[in-house]
Amino acid sequence: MAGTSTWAAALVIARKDVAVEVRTRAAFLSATVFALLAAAIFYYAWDPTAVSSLDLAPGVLWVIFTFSGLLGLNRSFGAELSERAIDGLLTAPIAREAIFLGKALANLAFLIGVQLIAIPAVILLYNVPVGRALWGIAAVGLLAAIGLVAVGTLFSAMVVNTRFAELLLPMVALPFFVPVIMAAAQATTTLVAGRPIAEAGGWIRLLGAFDLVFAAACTVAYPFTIER
Amino acid sequence: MTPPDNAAYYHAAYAAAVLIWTLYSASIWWRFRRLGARPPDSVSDR
Amino acid sequence: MPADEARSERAGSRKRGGPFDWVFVVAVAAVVATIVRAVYFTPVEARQGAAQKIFYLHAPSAFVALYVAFGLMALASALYLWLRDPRLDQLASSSAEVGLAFTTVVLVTGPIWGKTVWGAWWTWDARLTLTLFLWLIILGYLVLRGAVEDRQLRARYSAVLALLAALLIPFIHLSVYLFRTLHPQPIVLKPSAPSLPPEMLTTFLMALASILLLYVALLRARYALARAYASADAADDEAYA
Repeated sequence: MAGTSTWAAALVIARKDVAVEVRTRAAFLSATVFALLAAAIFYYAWDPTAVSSLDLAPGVLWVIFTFSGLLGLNRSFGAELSERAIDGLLTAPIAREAIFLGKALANLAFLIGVQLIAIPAVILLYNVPVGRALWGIAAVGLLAAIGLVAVGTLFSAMVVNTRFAELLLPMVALPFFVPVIMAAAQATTTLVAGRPIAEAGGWIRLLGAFDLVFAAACTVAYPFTIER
Repeated sequence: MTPPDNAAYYHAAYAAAVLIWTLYSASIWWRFRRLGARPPDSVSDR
Repeated sequence: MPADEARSERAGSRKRGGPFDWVFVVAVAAVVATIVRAVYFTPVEARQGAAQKIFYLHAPSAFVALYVAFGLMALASALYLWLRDPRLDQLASSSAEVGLAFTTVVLVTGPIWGKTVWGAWWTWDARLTLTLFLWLIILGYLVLRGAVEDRQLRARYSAVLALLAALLIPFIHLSVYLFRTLHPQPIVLKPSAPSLPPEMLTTFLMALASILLLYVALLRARYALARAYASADAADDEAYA
């Protein structure tokens, strides 16, 4: 498994990506604006007298994360294309896994940032009485974000070398997001309804297992996708 | 008990299956033919 | 080898009958025989009516696509990452494409049967959902292959995607299962496969054998096509060198 130097290198790469994003804010701004717009549009896509906005909220939340997450993931390796910056990373004397972990950490920070704006927005716009469920929702959000980021970062690294990266990423990544979105939305529904977190135990275990399996598998798989 | 009269459904399903297999075989044959006839250095897909 | 020599060699392989060989002829004959037997010489099931006969094409196609074709795809992909033999990549992608054709048969014939017996074209049952997502994943795999120019990169990307897809299947299955237990489905009539009368069982086994043979024949043809593409690529490289 990754040693301390791998993690140190990963943190440097993650910090670099976060710094670039903080300076340009391009992807983060578009992802959050997209999330807010989508939250508003979804509200009008259903008849509020037939489906209460409370029942709608968890589904809306997770559909928003999926697609705004894809916006950020597209940039993750796309940003390394200009001036062939990725070659600099690849020739650096660090483990290949460190590049993947660094990119994944930066994407995780990105997705958590989107969640920090989108979750309160959906709670406000859909009048969700969260109360003590907020911590549970945050935990589910973190678990789901780890799974989405593990798979999404690997596919972002792959599609960046293809002819139509932005179109291809959703096509290969979304089927992998299905169990994550399903589990996260169902667990959120349970929590929002005020039922105890134990009732969502199966879904949360599923999220945890997905995170472990795919974080490990994608870290192992990444070097195969970049060797020359 | 008389079986329900739904033979049309299975006729449609059999026709659809045969059609899919036929079209797929034809696509392999067609791609092979096009590869043989093409000028060198114009492989566009595989 | 000069370019036009390579071209004439390819043209020669075309004259020898293209990618289809005697296995394909035998497979087509076997499938035709199966269909004739299923239509004219197999009794109509009492409860489901004639539509039950869809089962003879549907279930073997599902078995061949989901277990044989995609199993071989995952195995060849893993072996590719280990041995780096381009033929393993060609085998994996050929099996994926043929498997996609068989999965399409499954997804088209299934709802027609479901409409008559369940009364609905589609239910979000665990198996149906898994098949649909597998179909979408394989489609994504083939689109990804079409979008990568570099041969080695394409092979590695596809192998990684195929292996991750193999890891994903239990998760999709588990999540659909959890979803279903939380949201009970209307009780549906299941085909009573284990208690098939002997005549129907014979038809079913014949269908299984002939559809498996059709898969083998189409895989051989598709693999021959992949080999032809590879040698065309190699000839182009030499023409440049």
